[in-house]
Amino acid sequence: MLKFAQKHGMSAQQASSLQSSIGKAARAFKIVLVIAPALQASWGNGLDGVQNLMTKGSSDTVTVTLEGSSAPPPPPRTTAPPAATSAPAQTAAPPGGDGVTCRQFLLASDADGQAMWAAAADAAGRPQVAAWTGRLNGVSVCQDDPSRSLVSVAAVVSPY
Amino acid sequence: MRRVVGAVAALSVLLVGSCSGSQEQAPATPAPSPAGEPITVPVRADTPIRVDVPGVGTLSGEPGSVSGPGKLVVQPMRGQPALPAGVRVTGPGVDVSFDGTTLAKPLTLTFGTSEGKGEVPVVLHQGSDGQWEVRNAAAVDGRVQVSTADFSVNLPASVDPPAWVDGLWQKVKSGAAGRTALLDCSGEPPWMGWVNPSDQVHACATTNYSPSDATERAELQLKSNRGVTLEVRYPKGAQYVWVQDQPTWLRKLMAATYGYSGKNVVLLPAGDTMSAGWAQPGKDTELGFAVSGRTGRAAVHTLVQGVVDYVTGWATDLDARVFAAYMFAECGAGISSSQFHVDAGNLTDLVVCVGKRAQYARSSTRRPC
Repeated sequence: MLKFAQKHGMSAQQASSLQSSIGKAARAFKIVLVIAPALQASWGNGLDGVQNLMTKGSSDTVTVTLEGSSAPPPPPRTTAPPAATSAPAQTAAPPGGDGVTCRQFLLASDADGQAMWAAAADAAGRPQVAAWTGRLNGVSVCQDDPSRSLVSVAAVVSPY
Repeated sequence: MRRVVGAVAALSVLLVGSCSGSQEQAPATPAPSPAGEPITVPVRADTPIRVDVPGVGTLSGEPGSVSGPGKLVVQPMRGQPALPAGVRVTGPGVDVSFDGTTLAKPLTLTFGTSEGKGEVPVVLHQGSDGQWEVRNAAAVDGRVQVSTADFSVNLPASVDPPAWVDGLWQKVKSGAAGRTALLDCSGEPPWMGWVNPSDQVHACATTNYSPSDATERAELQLKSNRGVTLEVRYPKGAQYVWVQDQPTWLRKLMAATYGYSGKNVVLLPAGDTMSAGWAQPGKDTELGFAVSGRTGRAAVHTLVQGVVDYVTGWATDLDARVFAAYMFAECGAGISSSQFHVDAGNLTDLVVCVGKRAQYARSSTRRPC
């Protein structure tokens, strides 16, 4: 343990604290040693379930913008993550041609855009068809028939 | 033939728990109480010992178990410590003391019941600091049997390993599905903007002045919104990157053992906060923090920290983080953190390795407190 502490640059205080932790863990981990012969067979399907649970999901990006000291005054900025609004504002959008109609959903702010992106697709009765790319303030949903296929869900206005 | 195991474990006198340390102790549990009148019997060094304790069991010993003539006092005890999932007390126990003589050899306790299919018979021993420890025992004719020289309170018990493991999975799953409290910082400089499109992470921003020259710095704070570790890939150029309960040396250790660059990646455990700060740049700058709880190393860290927390019952503080890092560095060789692939064999190897190393470390450093 001391070698470990020295190798990784721990302070004497931290090394002492780790030693104490190990002592306490020794008592707690006794149960693991006692049931060790039965342990391997006991992890069971739970391990697979945890694996599936923990490897689901996506990677997101939190974006920070810093205005340069020589830049002109900035446009309105997001100062806090607003709660997602209940429904996007809906306006008419240019027709898509060949009987395709489009509706445009304007986003109240950029931060709740992801929720609205999904809401827009839901409003068209179709699953979300593309990943949210962020930094949009509007989406356009185009359909050839509300009861039939969704032609596209497209960003119509981008960055500030 | 009777099997008697656990003598080695029983000889391990608990001293460590009463020494100093910052780990939060397990919550106090109701103290065991007498379950009847004490039984006093005369004993001699040259005769065997056998004491029948009504409603409890028997206490026996070979000739030479005590140093000389005296009295043996057996107090039946009842107790119900706070126990992890799958562990149950199977009957009353005993507290044994000696009057005019001392113990020279372990005595054999036969008590409780051991009838559950697949259950492992154990003895719960209460240390001098009031904390309980699980010890090896044997199942003999449907009862729990242990050879021991430690006679503060001993209770017969059993462990159902699948139920114990299920308790771990439930804890990990509930953490992964849960949510954490929001961050509440505010007051970032007017030249900073930020957007958090993720529900995996909480974010807020504030102003943090440089302690050396009072330069105004914009600070972003991030915290996992799940009971899981997040892998955060942060942009270069920050004046500082701080991670709760991860001093620089620990961040380097974690980077080395989990296989990532400590220069732009942080493993942010559940409930912990990190922050990064920038002075105002000369030109407009956009920075991105990529956060994910599903990478192999984030998932492995969640599992390792979850095992530590479940087994020890510690609060998640610096010591718990350091211990988990030590544990994985020393015993995690069989587990790849580049992707989440942990099977029953290498998970067993990991926890048994940690248990053995801890026992060794304790036995090699035990001293009076």
